[in-house]
Amino acid sequence: MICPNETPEGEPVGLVQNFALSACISVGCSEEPVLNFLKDHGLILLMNCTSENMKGSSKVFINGKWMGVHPTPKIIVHQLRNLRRVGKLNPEISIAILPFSNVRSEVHVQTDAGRIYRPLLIVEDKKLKLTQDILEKLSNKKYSWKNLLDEGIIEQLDTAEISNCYIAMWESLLKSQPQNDFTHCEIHPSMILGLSASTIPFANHNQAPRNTYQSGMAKQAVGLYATNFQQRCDLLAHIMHYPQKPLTTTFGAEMCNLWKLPAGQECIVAILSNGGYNQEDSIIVNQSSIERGLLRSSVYHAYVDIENLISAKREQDEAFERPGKLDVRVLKVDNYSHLEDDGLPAVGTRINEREVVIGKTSNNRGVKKDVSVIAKLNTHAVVTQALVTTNEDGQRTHKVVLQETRCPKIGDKFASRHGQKGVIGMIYSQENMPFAKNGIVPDVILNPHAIPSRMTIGHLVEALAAKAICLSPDIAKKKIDGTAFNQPITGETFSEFLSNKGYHKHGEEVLYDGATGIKLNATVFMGVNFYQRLKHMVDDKLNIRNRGAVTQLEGQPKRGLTREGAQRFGEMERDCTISHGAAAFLHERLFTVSDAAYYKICNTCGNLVSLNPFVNQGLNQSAVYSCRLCDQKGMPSDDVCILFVNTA
Amino acid sequence: MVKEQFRDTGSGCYKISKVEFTVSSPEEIARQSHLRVIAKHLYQQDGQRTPVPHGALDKRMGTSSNSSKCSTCAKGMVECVGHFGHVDLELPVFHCGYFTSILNILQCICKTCGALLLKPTDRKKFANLVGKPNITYLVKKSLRKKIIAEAKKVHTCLVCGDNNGVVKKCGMLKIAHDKYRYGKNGEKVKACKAEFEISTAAKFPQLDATIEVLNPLTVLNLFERISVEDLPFLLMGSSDSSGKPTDLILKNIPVPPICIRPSVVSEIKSGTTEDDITMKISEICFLNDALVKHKESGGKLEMFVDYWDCLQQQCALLINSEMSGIPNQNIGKKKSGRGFVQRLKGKQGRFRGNLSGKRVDFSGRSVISPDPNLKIQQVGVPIHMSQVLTYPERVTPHNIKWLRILVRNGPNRHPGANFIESKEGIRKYLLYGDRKRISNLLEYGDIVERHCVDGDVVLFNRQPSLHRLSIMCHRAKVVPGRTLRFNECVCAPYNADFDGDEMNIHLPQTEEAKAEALILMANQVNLVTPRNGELIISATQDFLTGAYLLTNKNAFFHKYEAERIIMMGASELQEFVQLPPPSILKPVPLWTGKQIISTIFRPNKLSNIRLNLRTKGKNYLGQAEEMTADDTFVVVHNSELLAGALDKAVLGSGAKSNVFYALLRDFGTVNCLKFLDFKFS
Repeated sequence: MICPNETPEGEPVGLVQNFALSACISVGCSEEPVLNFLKDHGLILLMNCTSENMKGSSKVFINGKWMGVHPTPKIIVHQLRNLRRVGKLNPEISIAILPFSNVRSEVHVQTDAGRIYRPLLIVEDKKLKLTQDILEKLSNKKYSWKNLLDEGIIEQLDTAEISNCYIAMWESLLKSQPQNDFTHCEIHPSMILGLSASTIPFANHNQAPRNTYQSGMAKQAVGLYATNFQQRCDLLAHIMHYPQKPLTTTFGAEMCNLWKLPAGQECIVAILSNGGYNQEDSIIVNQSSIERGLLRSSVYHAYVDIENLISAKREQDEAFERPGKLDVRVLKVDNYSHLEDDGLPAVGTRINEREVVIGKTSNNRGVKKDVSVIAKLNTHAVVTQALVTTNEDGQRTHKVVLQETRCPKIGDKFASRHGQKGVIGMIYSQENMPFAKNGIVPDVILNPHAIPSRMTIGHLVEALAAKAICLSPDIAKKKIDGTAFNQPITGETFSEFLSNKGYHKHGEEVLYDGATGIKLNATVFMGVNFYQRLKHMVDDKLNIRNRGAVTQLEGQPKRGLTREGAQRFGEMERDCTISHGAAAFLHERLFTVSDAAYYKICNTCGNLVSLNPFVNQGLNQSAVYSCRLCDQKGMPSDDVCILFVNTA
Repeated sequence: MVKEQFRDTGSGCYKISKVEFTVSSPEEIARQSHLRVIAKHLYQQDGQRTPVPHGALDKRMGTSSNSSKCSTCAKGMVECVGHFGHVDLELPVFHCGYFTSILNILQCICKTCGALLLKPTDRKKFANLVGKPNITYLVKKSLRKKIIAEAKKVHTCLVCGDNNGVVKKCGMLKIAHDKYRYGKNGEKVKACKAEFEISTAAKFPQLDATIEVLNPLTVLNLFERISVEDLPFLLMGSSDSSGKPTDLILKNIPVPPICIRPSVVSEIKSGTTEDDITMKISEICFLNDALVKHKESGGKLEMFVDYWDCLQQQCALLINSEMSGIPNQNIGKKKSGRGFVQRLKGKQGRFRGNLSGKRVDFSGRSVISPDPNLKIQQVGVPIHMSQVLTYPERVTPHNIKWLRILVRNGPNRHPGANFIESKEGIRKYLLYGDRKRISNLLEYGDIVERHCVDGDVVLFNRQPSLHRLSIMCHRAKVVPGRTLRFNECVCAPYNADFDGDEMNIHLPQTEEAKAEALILMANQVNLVTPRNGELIISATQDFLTGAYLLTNKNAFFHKYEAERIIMMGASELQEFVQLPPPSILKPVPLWTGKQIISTIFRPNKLSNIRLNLRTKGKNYLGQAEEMTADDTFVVVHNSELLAGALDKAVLGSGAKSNVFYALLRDFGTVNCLKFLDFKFS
């Protein structure tokens, strides 16, 4: 019912779960039919129970209420289930004997809302009730889901009733293991996976945690989130320029139309150790592919501002306009020339960091103040939309959408669909990359050390499968499918496709070194993998500060990338420095470079001392400090010493 | 590497010998304050946001906005130290922090006359101990406990003869004295019965004369009546700066300066958000005002007592806003305001959040990416970072030429400089102005804030910093791009991998810090983990695999290949390389991989490095040592690799039988690490 792989990493792990594809929730129905049937078929109501008829009978519960007892629980349950299978009872009703193995078991019937159930094929006499002609009728649209339920071909079981069943994973098990009396059969084993896990091809060949990572990363992948993104003004949107549907998809993903708005591209991947720039999870990418648009994306930022009419008297209100030097006292930036008269820039204007995006002034009794909206740090963008509208309160609203193209660069994060995430370590141009005899150059080079400990065989299988599909699309597509648990994959599954087209049957290729032209001594595994671009990009993460804004209260540097904040030299780092014995460095970090200050204190009583202005009016040279506590006014300044202390 | 102790000359420089915390008396509070805060309103009604004089935001206590100046010292927000004010309370109030001390003292004295409740024998016994100078804290604590224990046993006052029973807390910040009840069993004395009868005879049944609530005023009067000879037995503070018990009760409250409770002007709507403490102070003023008005107009006694209770609560909330047991707390407000205690405690409080660890200037953070061509001591600093992180270098005859070039390049060209600070302290920004002229005017003693250049000392850190190797000193190397780079072998101490991790970089600004970082925190010193002395910076991943393949029995190389490998790897050695004679002479001269490695260990005959090592490789089966067929036993003799392929056990981390370990122990060299970047082909 719940996807075994899709759960977030970190604090909410295991607490936040996701539904499997085949799971549904019951909406509730009346318990009358069940109650009536039971009454007519031997249920002894509670009020009529005596100690005699309770002996050897099982309790019967409907929706948690104890209705009575019944002498033959197994038979009545069988009858109820048969009723359900012919459509006389609502298919959501769950009928279970709990605990199953106990003689003194109880019959639980649930008809309420909020239960999770999933559909399974019914097995009778070691055969599925689903036959070939029913399947044909289904594909001809003569049969519907309701027909299947009403004819007893499929049953919907919730968690209680499932404990009464023996489910076979495949139809073939029914014949090959006749000794087991299966009651049901899975429609398809891959239906236990949830939506995110259905993106993973050959998921059953991967180590489980890798599937979990991928389930999380699929949500961070850049793709097309809506087809009307050019008309929308979303605060932050990522769009991939050339998204591609993956060659290896799963059944579940196709059914849910996941790839109608795809989120990644197919890349030719070689698994090779090349120059050492792809160690420890990083990848090497082909420069020429990037120039041709590989994994390129754009970021859209929307800047929204409202014209506030602050007071009813219109003494204090705001206006969208280009602030001019004449009437506005203090301007935020130097250059307003790219704004038009209504305060908006024209579509196509380049806007960089700290430039004006929307011009606005605030008028306070004739005094104008500049309250324009300024572009954030690290922005190098182009205006794609400049919009004038009104918001729900009827105030005039201006929206400007800035678009920034982000080519993949060193530091950007990418991941395949098997939990193999990594940052670009180096970008080599096509001439320097290893090449095959037919001229194919890999787009991505992955380090072989990433495979053994992670055991993501699905990655390797996907590489082979996609390569085979590339080479012989029609035949391969019919036979190869990335759905989990679908077909057993061996080393020979793809060898026929590959060797027919003249490639090595295990996907290895002979590569020549790009720099020297010498043939590499070993053959290299090369295939096609679907790579996702994740939204973590290095441009958003670079954060440097030499000096800058400090907080008012403590006098320490501010926090946060957008505010030119500083890094925290926290308690743990302080401990490390102490352990090294670097005392002067610690003093510098915690004092000189953070909140150094000096104050004057009184030598007699040790309290802070302040300047007395009235005494100082005449004197220019030596300032006079008075310590109030010692009641010494006009104390000469050498009774005061200077204390170097932190502001906080 | 024993470091010599640095002795401070300390000329003219005082050192702080001790910091003492005492209780301040009401007179002191009044003396140090600059004004009396009376008004309950914060701002006047004129729309200009001028503060009410004698209100909580009076300008004489300092200023919290950039535009206005402090009225007392006429300085701006940054320089003004801040000046205290005070609020005179109408009625005295318990100080919530000293409450237990007040309780303890009350248990020692008579509740009627204020005399000390000690029997003469006990008094003599304690007099000696108490009179000693320089009593340590722990001794004082136990002494106080004993005195209290003795005092609790005395039920009749020695001076006035009145009964003294159990003094306890009853409710929030209230003290109850049960006059006729003492001991755990609570026996009532016969006198109590007599009193009871008197009260019933007088027909006042409500008068439960046995329990009296001691309000702060009563306690204050009591404390004032404590005689001077009795004071030492209360053990308050050290003898010269001791507080008196009367100081424990608040008669006036110091109002902290405005710089500690700044008001925030919100840009969106007009109006300011005031600090919690400002709001509390104005509430206290309001209650004070109400009490004065009630006194004058003669209101009901209950209202009076209510207001007094409220005043007590507000004063307690000012100090500790999370006091339990105060009603009307959680109704309405979700988050109670911050009192002084909340400002200090907890992870975000002053101590842990702002003193033990704080945000620092001259720091940066970015995503990390690998670079096998950097030495392990180096870290690749992106150009953008190097232009912002600057080092203040003093101009001396040795570097003036170079600094002149940097000044001329200015802030936007690397290597350049951002600011110049002359000896007099005038700072010039180098973006504007004629840089050529400025560079010619450079004098010895000026400070140039120059960009970070190759070879600068930086500290590299990955959080969480679990062991001391999480922060190490590296030499900067400026590289293009936007990521921080370093050699992968250094990943292990940081526990970093390149799947999107970010790391911090700090640039020390003073010469002393730089020197300490270089000698104490450098990579070379930190090759070995302090946990068990094993190598932690060693070959990993590609380096290992490459080394294994190189030293395989099958690895033979032509001359040009061998030379190429040695040159690629050993270019840092900067020594003259002598290739040994090839292992195979005919038909083609071929060198083995093992020979290449040996050459790297010892490039020429003049080098002193003679490495000797005999260890097991990873797959060694335990027989025949160097004669095993599968080449798993490593023998290095005089820096010649005679047998064995180098694998993880020999080159990797976590083993003491390691090539690098042996090198380190014997020769301290570090260069070996760089070599093994090699594509296995």
